[in-house]
Amino acid sequence: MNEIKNNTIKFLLDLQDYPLEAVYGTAYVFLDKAYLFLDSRLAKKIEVSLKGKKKLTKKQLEDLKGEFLNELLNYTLRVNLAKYNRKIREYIVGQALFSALGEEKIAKENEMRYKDDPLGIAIPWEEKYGKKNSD
Amino acid sequence: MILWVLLFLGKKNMGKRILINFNKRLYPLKGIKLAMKEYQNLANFNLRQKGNYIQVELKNIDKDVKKLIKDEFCNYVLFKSKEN
Repeated sequence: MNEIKNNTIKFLLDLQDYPLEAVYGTAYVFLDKAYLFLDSRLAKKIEVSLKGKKKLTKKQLEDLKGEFLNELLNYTLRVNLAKYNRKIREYIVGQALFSALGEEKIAKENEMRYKDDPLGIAIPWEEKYGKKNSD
Repeated sequence: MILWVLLFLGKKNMGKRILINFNKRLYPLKGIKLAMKEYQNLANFNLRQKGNYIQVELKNIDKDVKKLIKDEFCNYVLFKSKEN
């Protein structure tokens, strides 16, 4: 259902079909193409007004609406993918950070063991058990 | 006589104001305030809350931007709302 008046096309969006985040994202993309105004008189519905920056015909306004809806679909998909993949994305980033931290830590530990020799491996047998052998 | 004309023109210009109602659920107050701050040299802004709406009143609008200011301001509010 469109309302075309004063170089403006108005239409309703159902928030059950499109997330609000996607509507904002799409509106942001269209800021340089048209003048936008959002309103919500009914619960779960958003009224979008698109006004041409220059004089547009009825056909051009309808095309503008079509472009907006296409972009909205694109944004909705992106929002949904981001939502569904959130856990795995967080896991991958977490693993990457953890392994990066781990390598550094291991390298540090290796360096310390070599210098400190806490098990006394570097001490020669004679030096360690020399007296016992002489008995 | 000149004074009368000036007074008349002044009153006429003062009477020209624009009211914009931003839905509170869609436009955060912070975005509106930031946009108002950026546009303050083009008009006098007045903000009040009215039910589910934040009403912005524009007065003494710069004559060069009188036709555009409402639409441009609305776009700028949307931009600032997304940015913050």
